[in-house]
Amino acid sequence: MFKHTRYLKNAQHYDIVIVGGGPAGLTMLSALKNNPKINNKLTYKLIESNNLSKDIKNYTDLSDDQFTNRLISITPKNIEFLTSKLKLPLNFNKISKFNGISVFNGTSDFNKARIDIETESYMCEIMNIVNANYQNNQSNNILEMTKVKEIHFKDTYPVLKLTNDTDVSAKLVIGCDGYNSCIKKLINNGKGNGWSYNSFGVVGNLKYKYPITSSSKGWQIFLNSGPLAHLPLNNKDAGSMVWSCNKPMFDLFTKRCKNGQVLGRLINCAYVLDKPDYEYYLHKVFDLYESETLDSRLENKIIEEMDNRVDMVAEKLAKINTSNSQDNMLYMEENYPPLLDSVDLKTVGGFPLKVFHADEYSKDRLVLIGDACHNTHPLAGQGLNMGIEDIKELTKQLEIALDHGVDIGNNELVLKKYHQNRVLENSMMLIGTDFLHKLFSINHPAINNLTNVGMNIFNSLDTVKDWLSFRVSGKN
Amino acid sequence: MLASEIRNIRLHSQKRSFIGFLKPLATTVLTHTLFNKEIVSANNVENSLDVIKTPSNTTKKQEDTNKLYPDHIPLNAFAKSMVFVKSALGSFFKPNHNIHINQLGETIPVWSNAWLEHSYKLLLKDREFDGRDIIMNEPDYRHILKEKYLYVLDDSRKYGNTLAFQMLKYLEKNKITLESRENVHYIDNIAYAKLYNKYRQSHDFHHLVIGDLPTSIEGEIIVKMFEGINMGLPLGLIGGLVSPLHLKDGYIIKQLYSHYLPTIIDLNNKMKCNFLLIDWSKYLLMDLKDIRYKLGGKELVEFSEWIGNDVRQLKKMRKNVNKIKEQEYQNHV
Repeated sequence: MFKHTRYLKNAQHYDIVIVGGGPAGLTMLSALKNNPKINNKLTYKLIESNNLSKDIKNYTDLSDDQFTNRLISITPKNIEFLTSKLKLPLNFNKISKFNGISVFNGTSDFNKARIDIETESYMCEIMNIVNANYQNNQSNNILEMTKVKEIHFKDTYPVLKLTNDTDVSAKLVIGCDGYNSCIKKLINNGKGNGWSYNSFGVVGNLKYKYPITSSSKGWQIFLNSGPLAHLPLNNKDAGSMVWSCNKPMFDLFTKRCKNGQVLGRLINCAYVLDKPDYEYYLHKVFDLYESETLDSRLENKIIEEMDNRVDMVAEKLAKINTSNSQDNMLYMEENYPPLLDSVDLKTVGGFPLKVFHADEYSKDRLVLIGDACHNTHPLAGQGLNMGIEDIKELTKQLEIALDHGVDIGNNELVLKKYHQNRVLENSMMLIGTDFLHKLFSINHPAINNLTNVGMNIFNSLDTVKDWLSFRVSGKN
Repeated sequence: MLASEIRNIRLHSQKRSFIGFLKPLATTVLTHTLFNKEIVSANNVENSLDVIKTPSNTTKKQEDTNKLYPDHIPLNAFAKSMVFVKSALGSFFKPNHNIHINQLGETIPVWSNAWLEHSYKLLLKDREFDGRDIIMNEPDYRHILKEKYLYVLDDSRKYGNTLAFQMLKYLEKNKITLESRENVHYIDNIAYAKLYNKYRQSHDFHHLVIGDLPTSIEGEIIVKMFEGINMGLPLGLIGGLVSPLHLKDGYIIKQLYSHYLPTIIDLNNKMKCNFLLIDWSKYLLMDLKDIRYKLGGKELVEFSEWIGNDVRQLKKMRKNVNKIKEQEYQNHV
């Protein structure tokens, strides 16, 4: 250690440097801190380019009823890891738990198939995790508003040139800085498998028409343009959506649409109505916002039309599927997502969707976790969960290395093992979501009917469903 | 005139009486002896015979839960196919009985359902005509004229050309009513049942709009041909393409296939819309010619001007020809 610090005059040295202060990076920092072995023996630092404390102040100023739009789903085993093992002070008023997920097939023309899975999951704001991690760590471990300008190697030790004109050297650099990671480029030239989906994810917060009375559930429908998820935010009258859609729809929702009610009713249509019916209204909304000048009367007319149609179909569905009038009232509430009043247009935002899996997660003294090495479609809601699993595995390997007295930056003995243990599960998840996305975006009646039949069969296989929900959530 | 030809006619009529004897036998064998009580009871309901055997309380309640709409008669696939066979035979041999045609249209296996699904999708997607209104308002044309539009008869100068006026006149001339149209019974889907009801009730409007066609068998066949080709209606295709075979007059059969059918296909190629998408209640106070122009351009207007009289004249002409033949035969004898 002395040998290399001699060459660097104004360099600080740490054992571990984490680049990137997103949810994955900050959780990694907490994991290091909460592991007594690592915490006692190693020094570490996190480098983040954004002004974290300002973001956190903005977030903590919000009341418990206001939500930011970037949400993430966390499985029960991971929330347990975060709360009991890392002792993160998460704000549970802003985390909603839901007890099941219903997936519809909106690609078939009539008679949507559905799969109901009883699985627990938690919806949590990204800022909630970031905030909890930030409170948990003394801020002297975090270096804010600093970018990594350049990384070069001196005697195989990476030296990070920062924007505040200091150099930082480390035994191990953990890259958690997302898809455009600067660490990724150094590992095998950032090579990996992946492609862009040519579609966008639109997120936004929803306002229900009526507050819900039963326990909240997650809902997802596969449309030809991409899956649309409808998730609870609090257990009263707010929800959030993730709608992956094509370019014209993305433009419509994020730029041209001026009335959140139209968008909210369109989501009602997507869930309740048949595909040709929903597409009719989608085209109508497109036509509505085609021209520059906007007529609010036309807007109100289309909102009323959609409401009437949804009410009409809901009544029919309830009548067909139930035998007495009491069940009649409850049928829609139990089997369909709560009807929406509007989408909060201030929270609507979007991002391009892609899939990517790095060939190598590590190199001597460099390692990637989270989104830096695998990007996934949000349809399964497993992005951060995979990242947290990475963190668990990496801390485990670091612990073993310390026990055995091995250099923690050693690729063959430490980092490669982390890669080995994670690569299969990650690629299974990536291939699975990629397959689902591609299967449901085929717009051919034969395939659509086939998926409908397949989903109906799957829905009747309870053991398979239980096993799957156990595999994903870690809880029965 | 040739004696051999006349003999042919006689032979033909003899043959027909023989087939006529077979018909009740075949239908009864197929419906009654094939142990299907459901068909019998279904027929009872259709014929509005109030006496239903074994009206025990429990079975009645069970039936109610299976019913999707008040007039629904839920049948299993086998029973339905039996109704189909029975009604197919019935409508070939006795086309003037409405019940056979009604049952046939609803029970054609697979095809009928596929057509209904296709047309329902058409209605849902439609943005040019009234598909959406038909779905939302579920119009019923049976009573609309007599309830709301009788006043047009008082002012023939003002309303003389409107659809409502012409329709009322047409009904009077042909001695038919719109009210007598039956509800559907065998379609196991509420939306499709509504759609089929709409078709059935607008059938008389088609008669008038296509060109004041008479309700004789020839006129009916031409309307069915048109409906089959324009809307893809299975009953229309079967009725339009098969039922001419059963007519007595070979000349008329030849005319139907070689003259009217190609003209209708030509007309349909120039048509702007599927007649299923038209909500007739919206057009009642419009000029009939304007409606024809809107739906089919000037081709439909031209077509409608000659088709009705052409069919009537054809029939008259054949009657005269037959009379002359008969006279010549008698003279010959």
